[in-house]
Amino acid sequence: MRQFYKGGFLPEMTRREAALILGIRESAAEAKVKEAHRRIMIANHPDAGGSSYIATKVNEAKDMLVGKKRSGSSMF
Amino acid sequence: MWQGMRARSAPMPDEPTTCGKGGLCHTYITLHHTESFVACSHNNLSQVFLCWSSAARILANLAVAGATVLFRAATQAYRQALVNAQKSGVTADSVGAAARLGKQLTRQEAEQILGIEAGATWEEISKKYEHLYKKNEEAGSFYLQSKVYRAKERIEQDLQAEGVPTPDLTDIHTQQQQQQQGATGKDA
Repeated sequence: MRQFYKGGFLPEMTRREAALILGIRESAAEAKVKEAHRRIMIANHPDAGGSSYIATKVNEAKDMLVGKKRSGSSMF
Repeated sequence: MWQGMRARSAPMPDEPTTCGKGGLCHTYITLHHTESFVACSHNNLSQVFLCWSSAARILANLAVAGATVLFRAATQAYRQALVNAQKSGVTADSVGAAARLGKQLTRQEAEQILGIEAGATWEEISKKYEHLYKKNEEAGSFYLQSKVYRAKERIEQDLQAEGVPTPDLTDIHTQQQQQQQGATGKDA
């Protein structure tokens, strides 16, 4: 039986933690990131009994891994 | 020092009023030290500042000196604080520091992870834990599953320390036991 990770979430999200949250590699392609994000969000959706804290973390993780791939797409 | 020098705000009749370079040359400044000095916007700005009253210069030197002293004091204090921190080892806010590093799970974060309120019953906690644990086992990541487990573990420890009973109300672990028993049964 694999040992559970210890402690809580990191105070500031890192790429490594983001990859762990989504269960993918840091170098995964954007399509894979989005697919993993979708799957995990469905499992942890707040409206379906999940916790909004975890849902926020999952979104943060996806933003971190998808955002880095794009060449600084800013809204402004 | 000020005798023999007089302040003027307008040029003498014979004095030139421009520097001769043309253009924006309408700024005439009479400087106290040198009565005949005619300044205009073409001149170097530093020359203009040099000829302000020496009182301003003294003040400026004082300000710079004061700032230097303050800066040195600040750096020394910072160094001393670092030394103190190293010597004392476990300080009062090392717990806070560890929590900030994410290595220590706080009660508050544990409650947030499970999505429960501060005064939740063990039954509610158990229900949320079971739901999240199963969901993340099926379709989540092992990392999230770990966090859910650690959150429940943290609250369980807290409640046990308070003396609240925390029986295993979930069927997660009993399922696993049944699976193991079933497997051994087949072999036999």
